Amino acid sequence: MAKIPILKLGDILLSTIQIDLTDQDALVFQDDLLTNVKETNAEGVIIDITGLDVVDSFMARVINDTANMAHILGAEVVLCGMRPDVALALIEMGRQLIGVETALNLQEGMEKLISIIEGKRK
Amino acid sequence: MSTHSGVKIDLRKQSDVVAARQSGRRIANDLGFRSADQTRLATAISELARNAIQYAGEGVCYITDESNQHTAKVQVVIEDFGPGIPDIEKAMTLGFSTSDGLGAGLQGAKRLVHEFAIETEPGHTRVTIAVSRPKE
Amino acid sequence: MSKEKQTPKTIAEILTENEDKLLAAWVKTIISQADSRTGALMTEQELGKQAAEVLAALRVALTAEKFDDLTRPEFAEVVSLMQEISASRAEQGFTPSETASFVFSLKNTLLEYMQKELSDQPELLNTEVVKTNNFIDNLGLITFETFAKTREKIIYEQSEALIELATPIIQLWDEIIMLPLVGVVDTRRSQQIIENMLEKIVQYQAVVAILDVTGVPIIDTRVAQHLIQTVTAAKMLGTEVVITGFSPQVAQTLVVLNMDLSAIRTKGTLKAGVAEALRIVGKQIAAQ
Repeated sequence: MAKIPILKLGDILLSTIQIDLTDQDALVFQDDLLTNVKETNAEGVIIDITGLDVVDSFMARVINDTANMAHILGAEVVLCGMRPDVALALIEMGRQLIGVETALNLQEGMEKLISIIEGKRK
Repeated sequence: MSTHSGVKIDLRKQSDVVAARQSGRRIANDLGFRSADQTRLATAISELARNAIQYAGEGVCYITDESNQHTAKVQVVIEDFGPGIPDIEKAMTLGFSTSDGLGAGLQGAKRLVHEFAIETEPGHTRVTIAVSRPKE
Repeated sequence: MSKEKQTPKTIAEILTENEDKLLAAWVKTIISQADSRTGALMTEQELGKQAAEVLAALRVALTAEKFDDLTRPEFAEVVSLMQEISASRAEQGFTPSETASFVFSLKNTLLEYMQKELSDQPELLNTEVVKTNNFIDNLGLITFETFAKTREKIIYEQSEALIELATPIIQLWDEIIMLPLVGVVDTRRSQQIIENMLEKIVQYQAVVAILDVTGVPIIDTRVAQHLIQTVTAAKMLGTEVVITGFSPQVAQTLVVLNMDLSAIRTKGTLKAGVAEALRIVGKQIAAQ
């Protein structure tokens, strides 16, 4: 089974999903990420999904839940790199991501996350 | 099934869901569908294949090229021999299920594809979906 | 009643015996028809060739015993030929009546010859005329159906092309794109707009997209729903949408219809929208 790498950059965790995940893979990723947030006291998390070409209702829920759970642990989550087709399929199914900040690419995501974290510190 | 080319994927474990949606995308791509339609089909397959495994334990997914001279068409049949869906009309009505139940998967899949049909009875459920586009 | 030595002639025999004359008469009828541009849109040669093919197919068809069912194998050739001809008429820009007259003028020509040949056998003439009439009317229906279908296809293709043209996406500034929407937004078009916009957002890596609806005449619940969908989809990519150009009437309608647009960023004018977009981008730059 594939394990999604989670990198630590200062106070931020960065993970890039590059392969098509099974439901179980997605849940393992959620566990891993939350454990990492807790252990490293991360203030922010970036999940890059540029490589995901299908986000169905299950995956959308996992992403939503992960963001909300990380928030409870004190970390903000920015999701970046969603493909246009994926966004299209999600809205057509009547779904949306609730409570997750999004960004076009990794750089925008990083800027957004830093500005949110700094905003919180003030 | 027709004489057209196609694949059959047994749905037993979660990785079969991934295999089914990837095959759907690949066949749609081979038939020249735009990437938005490929994603719609792959997403719909994912919803239905998961339902089959989750509610019936296992199922089968057939993906076939049903194109004719005027239309390019990918048809997907997902079949299981589980308990069936007791109140199908209710399951297909928006707001019936919690956000992630059986109904949500069916409704989501239906909105993504051009054709959607479902037959269900105790012991057999069969969902047929298709995307199509006019040929040049 | 009739002379004993003459066996009754069928329509098929009449056609075979008089094919050349019939053909000439038919082509002449088509070309000489008032208000018809058939002579201008195609050469007499082309027309003659088509007419000859139809007559040849008709000779086969008219040997059938029954004429009520056009799916009989004897009719296959003439039916597919007529479909082919009317489809090409539609593509060449013939009017419906110009297309239909191709078939119906054949009826007149045929009936003339039948009257001449069968003048001494009124009963036979009667049955053959009814048969021929029905048959050609049915052919006319097929012709018209094909013509209409082909026109529909052409109209569909043209409207597709028009949608592409009518929804340009402009890069206004670094990270800002703009879509001026003009014309009626129906479901099909709005799907295309969403698809297009999402694609361009990623292509230009646009942080803000301005959707100007000044040129959209009617904004009802459905259009508003599409706008909300567009905004939601763009947000998932990480892009803010600013909608500009709602008129006071539209604002009134939307509120009366109980539409919740609170999640949408709006500005009255395009000018204010551009300022807002720059502010959004600037704010992000300042945060670096």
